[in-house]
Amino acid sequence: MVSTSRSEVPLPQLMHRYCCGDERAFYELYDALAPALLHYLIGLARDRARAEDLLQTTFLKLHTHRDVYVAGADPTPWVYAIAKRAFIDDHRRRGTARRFLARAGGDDTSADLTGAPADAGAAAPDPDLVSRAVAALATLPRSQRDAVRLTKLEGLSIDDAARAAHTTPGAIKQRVHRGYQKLRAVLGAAE
Amino acid sequence: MNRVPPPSGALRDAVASMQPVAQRHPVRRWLAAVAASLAVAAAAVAALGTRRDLGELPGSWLAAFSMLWLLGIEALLGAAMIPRPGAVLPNARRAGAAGLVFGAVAAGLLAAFAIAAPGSTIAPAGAANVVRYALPCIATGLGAAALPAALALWLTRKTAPVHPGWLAAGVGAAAGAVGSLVLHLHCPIANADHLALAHGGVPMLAAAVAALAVRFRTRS
Repeated sequence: MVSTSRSEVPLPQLMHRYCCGDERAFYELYDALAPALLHYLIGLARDRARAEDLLQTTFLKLHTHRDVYVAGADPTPWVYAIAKRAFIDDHRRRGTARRFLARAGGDDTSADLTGAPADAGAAAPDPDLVSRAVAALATLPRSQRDAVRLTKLEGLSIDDAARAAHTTPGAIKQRVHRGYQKLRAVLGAAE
Repeated sequence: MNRVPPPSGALRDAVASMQPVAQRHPVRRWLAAVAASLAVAAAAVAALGTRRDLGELPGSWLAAFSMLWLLGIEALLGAAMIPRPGAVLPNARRAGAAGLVFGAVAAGLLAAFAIAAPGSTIAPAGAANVVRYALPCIATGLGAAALPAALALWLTRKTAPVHPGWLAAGVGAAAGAVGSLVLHLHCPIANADHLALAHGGVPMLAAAVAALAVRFRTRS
């Protein structure tokens, strides 16, 4: 049986129109799939806010991978597979960030993140400072936050981070620099 | 009922600026992968030379095992690239499992039906010789499998959001069958243990290498 949208248009037909560049078809597809998908993601993530972020990530991935679609096929299981992948990737990223914060030793990346001078021999940073740094990170514009996250939390080189963010190494350096400036300003104002 | 948030600004921007995209044709991709695999096998045999006992071995034996490897290439690539009707994605776990089962069965058949042409076929005895003669064959087989594996992995990119390692194992086993076909037509060593380990082992090894490479890539 072929799944249908709320407007009773079969999903394969919507997906076909979407691949052909019909903007309205995307929104109809979103309306048809998003409610159940959000429910599924809440079940996986056990956190509504995180599930809503994952929903957006899933549809962004669907958008960039829409050339994978096979004419006439039901897109529903594929979209759920993309959602599961998005959850797994997010889960791993969070694990990396948690390990980084738990490690939080004297490595210079944590010092950079908190805005304090790098000092490899220093004792473990103040947990309160680390949590404020993470909160400050959330206030950055997305491009700068991603640049800081990729280079400092996930430990990618500038070149690898540029590839991951689909931009140039120069742009990544600039975003990291501006991100640091804002982090320092936010953390400095909070003290 | 959950209230669903509207699409984000980034998503709306992406959709507003989208261009039409061509939809995927899995059968065409499969045909391209099979054709490329056969071309690589033919080029490798032409470059390495055919086995010196080719004329003395039973034609039916040569043909039967050549067909086995050809069937492996086509069936395993089909499992990894062609979804069932009505589905977008191939069944990654089934493709990977098929690759591993095929490798094990082919190795067993080679060991069970090893044939030598006295005087022309090399059949060195001793455990030390097994390893000594196996390593160059495994290297040759994996070398012949590299290009077909890379091409098939590229053609199957984005088609396994979950279980990508399993899909890669299926693709790797198919490429390994290309390597085994090359060895079957090139290598004149005919001990049962050599055939099972060196010739039959290439699909399993290629499956493991492809799965590990893809897992490493998706985790990094």
